[in-house]
Amino acid sequence: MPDRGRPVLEVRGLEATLTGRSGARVQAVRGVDFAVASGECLGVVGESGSGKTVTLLALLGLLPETAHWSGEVRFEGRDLLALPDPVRRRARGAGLGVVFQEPLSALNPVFSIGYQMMEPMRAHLGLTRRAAAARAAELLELVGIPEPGARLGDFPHQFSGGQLQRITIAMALACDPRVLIADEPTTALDVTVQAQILALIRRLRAELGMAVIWVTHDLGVVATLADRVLVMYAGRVIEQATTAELLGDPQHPYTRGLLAAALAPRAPRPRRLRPIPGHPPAVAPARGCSFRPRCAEALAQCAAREPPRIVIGPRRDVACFWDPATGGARDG
Amino acid sequence: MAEPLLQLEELTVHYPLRRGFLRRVVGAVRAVDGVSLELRRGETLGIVGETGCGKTTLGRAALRLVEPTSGRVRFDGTDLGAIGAAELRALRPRLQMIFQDPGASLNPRMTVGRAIAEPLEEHTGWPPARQAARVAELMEAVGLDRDLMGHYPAELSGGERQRVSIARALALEPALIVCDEPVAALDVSIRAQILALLEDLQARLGLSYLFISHDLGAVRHLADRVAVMYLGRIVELGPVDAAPAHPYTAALAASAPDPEDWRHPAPAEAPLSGDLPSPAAPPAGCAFASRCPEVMAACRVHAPALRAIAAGHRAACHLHDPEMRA
Ligand SMILES: Nc1ncnc2c1ncn2[C@@H]1O[C@H](COP(=O)(O)OP(=O)(O)OP(=O)(O)O)[C@@H](O)[C@H]1O
Ligand SMILES: Nc1ncnc2c1ncn2[C@@H]1O[C@H](COP(=O)(O)OP(=O)(O)OP(=O)(O)O)[C@@H](O)[C@H]1O
Ligand SMILES: [Mg+2]
Ligand SMILES: [Mg+2]
Repeated sequence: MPDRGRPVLEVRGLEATLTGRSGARVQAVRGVDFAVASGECLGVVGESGSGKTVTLLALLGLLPETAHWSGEVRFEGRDLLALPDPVRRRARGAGLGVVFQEPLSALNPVFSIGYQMMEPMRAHLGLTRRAAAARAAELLELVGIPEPGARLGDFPHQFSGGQLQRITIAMALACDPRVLIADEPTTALDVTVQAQILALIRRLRAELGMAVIWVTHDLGVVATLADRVLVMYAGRVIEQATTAELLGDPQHPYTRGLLAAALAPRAPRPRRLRPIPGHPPAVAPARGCSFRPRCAEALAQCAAREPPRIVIGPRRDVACFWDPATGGARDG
Repeated sequence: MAEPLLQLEELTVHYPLRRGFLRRVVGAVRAVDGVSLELRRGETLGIVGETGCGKTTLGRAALRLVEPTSGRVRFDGTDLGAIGAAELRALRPRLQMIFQDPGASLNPRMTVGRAIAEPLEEHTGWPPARQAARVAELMEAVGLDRDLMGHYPAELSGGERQRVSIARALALEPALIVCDEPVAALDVSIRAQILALLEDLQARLGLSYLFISHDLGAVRHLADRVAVMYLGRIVELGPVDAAPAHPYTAALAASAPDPEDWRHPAPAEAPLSGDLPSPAAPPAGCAFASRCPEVMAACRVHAPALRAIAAGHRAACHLHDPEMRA
């Protein structure tokens, strides 16, 4: 059992600039740092376009050729991005399980589900055909596919959308990853199926000590799954805290806005929704805080410079000059 | 009591089930199976249930966008099945739908301005200047920036596309809008903006909504009453703040993730396991029996009928039938 508490994956100073088809350059990730320990689940939230997917692609070394990136990604002590390509691919294939935002793009329509699940197990775990087939069936059972053994020969089009999504999660778990990286894997699922997947992930973390990075824009999912949360806005981490701290006492006005705009499905009487006005910027402003145009609390200094990540507790920081406790500027 | 705006009586929609090389009809998918409900004027009725339970089909049948296999739809006193194409066309402006997938329902070669003007061109005969003024007014109402007028759907964000589809639905000042998952694909803050917009429009214009979603959380915010569907049938229908009476409704409510959940330890098991049975071969007895945590012997034999359990609250479950419990 890997020892808990030690970071298994650490990301430092990650930056990524992408070039769109029209030639426009987007600074999608602007200095992201975080770490996740064995058995820990890190939730990553943030609005559409805030750089969540690009962060994951960058740390996996999967950005398009035209992208510019820099930073350090340490996986079990090795700098992944500095490794030669084949070594990195092997380390990634065996150690990191990935579920992409669009699961269908991860499946090949012309191969059976069984074949697609068994290939990586044979390559990375050295399993025989029979052992790989047995394990594939076991994994399908784990994610709730009925009669798994009989369905290994079926092709993707023979499954429902929700089942396909569960199959991609089974595939990510195939090689006993030390870290599971999942990008909105349950957004398109029914709440009942989503609850099944979340229960499964909680169990695997407890049983295998697997670390999890779970990207979502649903604060409800974060509440039941994550130990800690990163909030991203316009390519930066703007708040980091434990789940209880973040949801019980949010500090950044954007995080506070997200909570006020979230649905409370079991509250006795739903409160009136208070949406955050406006939209996130397509390009971060040249000066000042990128949330300032939508922020009701903006102070004079917010226009002058981008707030740094201010440490306000053990493993807790916020990139904001405003202090909700006083309604004025933070000390220091 | 005033006559309801929309009345569905024993509405049933079966799709042919085709198999094999010749696509022969080998059976029927019972997408909607004997649904009766009423929508009052100015009311929002939520329709919830899992993927494939028949929500979209019900919404389309209510507007006669699909032909029911049997049953009746009355809109504002008119039997929609008994009128001809011309009469139906005359009613169309009052019956609108916001489609589940705005990306697919918008014409990719039509700009935002043209897309919103289209229903006006088709139904009003207004001069172009008046149409243009109305388009501007609608874009303002749904919070779409004027600069987007000349953009094509591919150049919009998901939330912006959804607003275009709402603006189109509002163009002719309808009485009824079927909103099919209008916020499912959206981000938290855009979702809140759209829900607040729908609430606001209803307060100002007295619209009635059939609000379809698989998310009880979204429905609770907007709806006055909720109909819960399972495999083509209504299993519970009642006020939005009533305690769930059907075990399926309870499981749906318990499954919805809530930002307050961090206060309690997470459950080890999901409230519900397994999948919906096939709508082509529904089981004998209660369709939910195979997944129900409170299943009794009778449930596998007799299908429960939808019966009143309190004023304005109905459920189809033997747990609420004293004879079956005995
Ligand atoms: N291949 C690409 N070329 C150019 N720009 C891109 C590319 N992929 C993403 N971007 C841009 O980078 C920014 C961050 O995108 P990213 O996909 O990481 O957002 P996200 O937080 O994952 O959003 P969502 O919640 O919608 O998935 C966006 O402005 C996006 O338009
Ligand atoms: N045109 C069609 N031909 C045949 N079967 C269909 C057709 N449209 C829907 N169905 C089937 O009818 C059933 C109900 O489908 P419907 O789209 O109404 O469900 P839904 O509740 O809206 O699901 P979702 O939440 O996924 O949108 C499903 O089993 C579906 O596969
Ligand atoms: Mg993404
Ligand atoms: Mg539907």
